[in-house]
Amino acid sequence: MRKPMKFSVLLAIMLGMLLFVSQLAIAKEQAQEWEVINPAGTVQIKQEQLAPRINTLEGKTIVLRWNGKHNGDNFLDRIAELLKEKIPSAKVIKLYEVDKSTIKISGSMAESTRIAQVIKGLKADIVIAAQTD
Amino acid sequence: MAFVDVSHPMGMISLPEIRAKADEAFPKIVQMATTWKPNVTAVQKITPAYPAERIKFKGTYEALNKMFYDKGLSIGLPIIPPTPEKVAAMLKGTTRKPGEIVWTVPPKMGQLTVELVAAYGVMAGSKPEHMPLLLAVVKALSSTDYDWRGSSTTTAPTNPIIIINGPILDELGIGYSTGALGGEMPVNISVGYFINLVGDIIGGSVPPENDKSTQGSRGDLVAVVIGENEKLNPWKQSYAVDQGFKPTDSVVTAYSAYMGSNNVDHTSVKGEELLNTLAAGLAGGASGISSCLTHMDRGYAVTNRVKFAFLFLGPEHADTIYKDFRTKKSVSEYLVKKTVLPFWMYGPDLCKPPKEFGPWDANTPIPRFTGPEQVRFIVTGGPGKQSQIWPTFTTVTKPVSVIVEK
Repeated sequence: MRKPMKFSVLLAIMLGMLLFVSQLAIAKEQAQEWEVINPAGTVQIKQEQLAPRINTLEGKTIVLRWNGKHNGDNFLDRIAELLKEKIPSAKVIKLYEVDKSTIKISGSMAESTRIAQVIKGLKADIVIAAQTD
Repeated sequence: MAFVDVSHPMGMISLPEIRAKADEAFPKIVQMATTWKPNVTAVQKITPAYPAERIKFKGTYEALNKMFYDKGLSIGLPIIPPTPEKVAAMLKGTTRKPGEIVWTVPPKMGQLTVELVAAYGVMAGSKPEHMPLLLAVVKALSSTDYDWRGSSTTTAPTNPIIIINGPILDELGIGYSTGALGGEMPVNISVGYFINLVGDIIGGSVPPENDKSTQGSRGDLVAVVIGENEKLNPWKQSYAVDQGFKPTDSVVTAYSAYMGSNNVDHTSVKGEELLNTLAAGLAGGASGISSCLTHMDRGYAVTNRVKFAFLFLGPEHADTIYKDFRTKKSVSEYLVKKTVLPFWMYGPDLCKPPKEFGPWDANTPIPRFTGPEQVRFIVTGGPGKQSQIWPTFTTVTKPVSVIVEK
């Protein structure tokens, strides 16, 4: 009766050691050398001719652009009042009053281009736009 | 471009408050208008989009994942390392050239090559045989009708939605039955994860700088990817076939959605009764931004917001509806008629009924939609009395459907 019991105890110890060793292997995951593809991608950068800068608003044509977001028109209306009061020689054009098709989030490059063309047609020296939320 | 920061909020405040903000900002606007100059730097050496550079790293798998996250090359879930061997194996799933640029992803305008589609596929857990599906998804997302730029940078919690039809469902084991939008759907999950890896890493739509979503959504981590349960569709015609594709075509449909809601109707016996409760959900979806009397064929405008929605009908709900509505068009027409809100429930300025609508007051019920093409649906999921309602993000032009080209 004793021999089988000794054997069982020995077997239990061996199994326990095996489990312990395997757990140690998991805990000590070895560092390895990796080579991976960098998924960051690239961005194509083009050199563009900058628009001329202005150093005064006196006598300039200032276009105010509203994208339809709540209160952007009210904000720009007040800016227009202040421009007329402080810089009376400036010509202020509210794009959202002269061309209502521009009151929008463009949503695409094509529509952005179209709106930019409308502004260009107004011979703007500078555009002030409201991006409200 | 020069920016003047005006502190939030600007919307949803009174006229005196917004005028006061303009007064405060005015001197800064004048200063920026007359003194700001862009930083002009020499053109940097342009790195070719292909082949992608390789990273060498020594460490454990856990450390590699941390390095990816720290460098902005993953979005918080673990990734499978895109080793050159695994990426090469993925590329065997397509005949497209690895250097082909398939999407310049807004807002950062990063160039996504076929090679990088394969790399992101590996990272997300996709298999080589998924490459045609991934490329079709990219084609749909890159359509201007989808408006990825607006969807991925808005303050709204947008969810990319991908609906899949056709033989590819069973060929790849795409989930379309019980729990299709949950776990244990490895293809749906890997495609959904792939989409947001591409959007955040190549596209740069990362909070809080470019992704401005106020709370975000889980769909912005693993996108909503679901197959139609075509076998249990009582109308025997899939969404893709509705759109003019053949039943033998494998088709991906994509659009950007506001958060979905659920219809849990256990008691309606007649089709009309169930459609009435679905109409209630449709009417309330994307509340606050939805316009009345919207038109599918008109572009974005304050008075034409949220111009379509999808229903994901559970098969049992679909059967209930089919008993009384034998055509899909009749379902949509009924829902257009019943999806109404009293005028006072629309956001200010968003509902302006035209003269031909007739007299109305604050309590007049006014429909959200005008045409059946604005209420679309698929049959999906398994047994149960559940359906989902997913309204479109406001600047989406229309859902984009493309064939999966093998």
